[in-house]
Amino acid sequence: MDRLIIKSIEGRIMLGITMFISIMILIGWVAINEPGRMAEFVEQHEGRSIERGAELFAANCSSCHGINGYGIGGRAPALNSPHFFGYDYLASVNNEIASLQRELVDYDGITGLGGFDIPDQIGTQELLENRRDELISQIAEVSDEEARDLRVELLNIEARLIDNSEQVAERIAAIEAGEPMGDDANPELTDSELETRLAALQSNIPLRRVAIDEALNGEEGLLAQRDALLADLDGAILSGYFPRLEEVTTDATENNYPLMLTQYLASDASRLAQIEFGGTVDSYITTTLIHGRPGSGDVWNGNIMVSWSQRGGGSLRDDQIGDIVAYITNWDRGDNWTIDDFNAVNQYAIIHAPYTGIIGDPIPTVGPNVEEILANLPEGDATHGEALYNGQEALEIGVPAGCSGCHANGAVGPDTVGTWTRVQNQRLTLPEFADYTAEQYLIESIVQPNAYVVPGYSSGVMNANYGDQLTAQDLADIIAYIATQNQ
Amino acid sequence: MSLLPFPSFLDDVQEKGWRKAVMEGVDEVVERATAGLNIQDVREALRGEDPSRRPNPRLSPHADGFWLHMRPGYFHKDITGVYPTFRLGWLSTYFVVFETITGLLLMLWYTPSPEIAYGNMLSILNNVPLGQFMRDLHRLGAEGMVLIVSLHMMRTWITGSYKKPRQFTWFTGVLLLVFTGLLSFTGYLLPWDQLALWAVTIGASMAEATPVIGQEVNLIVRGAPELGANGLLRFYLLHVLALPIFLFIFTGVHYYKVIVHGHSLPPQKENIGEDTAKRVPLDKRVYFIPDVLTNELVWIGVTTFILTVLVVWFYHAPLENHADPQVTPLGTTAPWYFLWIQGALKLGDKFFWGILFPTVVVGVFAVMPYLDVTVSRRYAHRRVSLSLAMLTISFMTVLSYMGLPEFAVATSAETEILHELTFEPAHSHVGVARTIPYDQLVAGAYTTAELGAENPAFAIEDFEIMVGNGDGAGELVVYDHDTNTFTTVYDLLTADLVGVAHLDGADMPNSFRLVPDDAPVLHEVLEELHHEIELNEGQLPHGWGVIVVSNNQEGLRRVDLAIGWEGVEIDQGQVVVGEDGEPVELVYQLGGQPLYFQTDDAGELVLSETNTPNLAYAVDEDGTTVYYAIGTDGEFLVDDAGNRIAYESATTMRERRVETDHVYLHENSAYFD
Repeated sequence: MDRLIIKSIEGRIMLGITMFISIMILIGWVAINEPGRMAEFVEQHEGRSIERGAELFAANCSSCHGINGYGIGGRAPALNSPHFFGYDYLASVNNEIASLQRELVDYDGITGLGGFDIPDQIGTQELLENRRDELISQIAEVSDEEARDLRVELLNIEARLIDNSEQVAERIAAIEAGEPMGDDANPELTDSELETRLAALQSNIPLRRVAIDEALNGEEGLLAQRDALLADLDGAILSGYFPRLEEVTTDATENNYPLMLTQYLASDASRLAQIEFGGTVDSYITTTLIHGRPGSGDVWNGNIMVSWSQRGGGSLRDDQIGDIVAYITNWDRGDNWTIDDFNAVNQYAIIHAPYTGIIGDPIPTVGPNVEEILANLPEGDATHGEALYNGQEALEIGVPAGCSGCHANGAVGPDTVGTWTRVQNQRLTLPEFADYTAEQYLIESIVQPNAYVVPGYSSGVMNANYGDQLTAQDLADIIAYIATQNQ
Repeated sequence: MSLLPFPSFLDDVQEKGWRKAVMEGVDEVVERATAGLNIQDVREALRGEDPSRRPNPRLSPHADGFWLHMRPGYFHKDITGVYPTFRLGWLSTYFVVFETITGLLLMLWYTPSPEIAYGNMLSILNNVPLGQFMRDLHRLGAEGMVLIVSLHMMRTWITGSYKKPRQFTWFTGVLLLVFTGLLSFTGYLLPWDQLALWAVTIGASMAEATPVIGQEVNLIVRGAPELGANGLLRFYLLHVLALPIFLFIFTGVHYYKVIVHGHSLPPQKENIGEDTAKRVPLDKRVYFIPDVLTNELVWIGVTTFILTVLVVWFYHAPLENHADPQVTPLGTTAPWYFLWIQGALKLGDKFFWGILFPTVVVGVFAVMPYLDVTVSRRYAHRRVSLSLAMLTISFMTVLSYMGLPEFAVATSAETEILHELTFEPAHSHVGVARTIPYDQLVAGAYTTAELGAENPAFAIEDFEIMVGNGDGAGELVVYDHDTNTFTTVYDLLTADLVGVAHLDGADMPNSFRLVPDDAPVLHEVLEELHHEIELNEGQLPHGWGVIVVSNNQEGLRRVDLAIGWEGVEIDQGQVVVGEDGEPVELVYQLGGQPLYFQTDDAGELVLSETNTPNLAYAVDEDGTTVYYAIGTDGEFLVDDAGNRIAYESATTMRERRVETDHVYLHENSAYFD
């Protein structure tokens, strides 16, 4: 007994109860703070996800998409771009214009648009005049008390029918000064009635037409604003931001220029709409990272967006894909994109060119047989080979090869610089290439890229169909160029 | 005659009056529920009075009831207190129950798959109310359990309680210690973060060293050559199924043996060779009810309260980045209780120290009572045995220390420093560079040159001249072999930061600036960098540090840290000293030979246009050194007559080196919390 720390049983019971209650209080306190803590954790985790994404982007993506995500000309499109996030510089001004034009249609109707005649809507002169006559005859038939609401409506209609802006101004001044209107027998208007009358006067149709005309066509009107904006966005046509803008502006000589601009550009102003992707930007990036972009080599001079996810045979885990997505979407400035952001972009996305079919006879290509190629290899021209290698000129079959897209910096494939030296000093010293010449090694590497992959690089990254794309002369030229890379 | 067609409570009421009948009824219920204690007995027990009935009714719950049948009815008063058992065995049992409860709750939210396990952890932390609390308790409880079980074993060892007749109790105890360690170890992997993966990888790496069937054992343990989906599932099943079953079974055996033999008394309380634990004199008895029972309930309360306080304010279970088999973190360690094995591994052979040694240690422990058959438990008679115990404990402590990354892991100073400043949260620490508050990350370049200088602004100017500062007008002290030119340290820095570390070239600063006054933490980090470089002056002679802060994105900034120094030969983390007692300097070399650069009479470098130096080899001819011109390919140059060209004088040049590391910091990532 002496050695029990708390000797009295009452003390033990007290302490036990105190401990139990304290634990309950502590857990309760933790529980109360849980929502806040969890929210904070989410925020913190997202922050760290972006940090990791930044690191992954710099290491894996920046060599093609640019360190700031502005894209690299001819190589890969911008991700840090208003177009990518679907920001439409013209959206707000187009909306305003469309709204005013709709109002005009309400007043006047429109004929011939798309083969339809749209009649004018309620609020036209004739309708108002009919209603006025109706009201006058009704007022005469009912008591003063009952006629009050009708009188107010009558006044509104009269206000809208005045077609002289000076008269309108006079009457607004009179109403504001509290003067009774016309022959109204009951001039004590409530505040809301006063406001209704002012509004009615201000929506005076002829006056409103003048105002709309001014707002649209005035010197600083919306159309002028849009023209200025379009001038700012001029580079867009070249950069691929609004690839169909030219088409639109040609058609725009017709009288429906604004309408067509609205319709056409809405589908081009967002990358997602442009390629008809049905999901969010997040899922677009995710799916692109997972599956790569089949066909991207055609558009980007042979630079292929490969699959980066382990799901698609790439190297990144799902959480890393998520980190990259978090980083890229952190570029979204929402509604705060400026023209400067637009101009900072180096390379906008490109729409696939339509397939034009094969013209003329098939061009003979070398095929995949190395010995055969080697036996029939003509003399190469290094200068032409360089142009082919860098995608400045198309191959004989009409598509660019663009070797340099991947063979740069050693990021995707071995660096171009020093290739010849490395082949001579490193590759050909390997036992499996004992009886190879440098040409033979290079030809095999081009037409059978997976026969041997330089340590440190992945198999299957390089297209295996160059044998079907290169003519003997093209191949000889490219090899002649590579032979100059003996630094 | 019953009121109802059958005998009932109402008959009692009729006979005795309702008050008495109800009281008796309640009394009977209480007596049945407690397996022998009526209300009066309970009242007396709670008041600390002696029982009024004979025989002592407080013993009947032990004899007749289920819940207490394993507990003794009374203890010897000399073993009930803190000394000598510290209640460590009881605490171990407490942790078993505690871990089971918290573990079951965590299982609700966990799937053992590499694809989702880490996501589950995040969701426990950010989407499950009290999820973090529960995880912290479970983790803290696990660490506590390993600690308590080990202490329990040490206590038993030191008081000699393992001796006859308790040999088998001790044997099962050693098994329980092993199960406890394995439980904790298998649980380590489940969060599937970097800490988990690498700590367990180290722990499991011994499997391969098994002779003959190493590969098979490795496959069985990890489920694949490397830890992956199969490995995780195996560890999970071990953790939640196999090991707990063994643990529960052997806990039962262990405690059964404890009761059979009684709790051993302190050695000095018994005559040598006697075991009186089961013969407790009446005046030495402390009855389970009420004293020991209330005492244990209080301990449950107090221990749980301490654990709760710890996890509310002081302890959070670590969660590092997602496990990545491609990225080995610097300074990975096994869990602390396996550090001794990691330390032993540094002593030599993987099989001997990694498998044989731990097996022998555990094996010797297990059979110790059968080896040490001396009768006396008195300390004075066990000098050899106790000395061995102390030696073993010391040896394990030293081995554990040796398991730390600080011990005998040669990482170069610059890598170590940069890692120290930038590492991601691990082991409840984080690199100080990450703790800079976002608003103190003012874009610009800062240098350690300003620190300790009388006039920091001048010091920065001097530094800019030294490195070359982007305008190319610095000291040309960096030899670039690829272009055969001299460039500045700034170019070297740029090549590393922009070319390798992907810093935006536009963010490369053209000038250095003073750390703003309102960025004290940035200043502290710069000081820390300076301090660390100075501490490693031997390995980093003439060292300097640079911090470059740049804006990356909205809400995201980048901090680059760079260390520059003049090359000196390092071997195994130690500076190599030459015959003259001075450190061996690293000079630019070509083909394994020191590379010489032509100098004029004044000892200045002779440069052609575009900073191209004239290179030479030093060749000993008849006792004098001749400097023969060479090309960048290392071949001697010859004049038209075919003779080698010699320079009058030439000099070697010390290599300049730069090492960088960087972190991205988001404004919400809050590492400084």
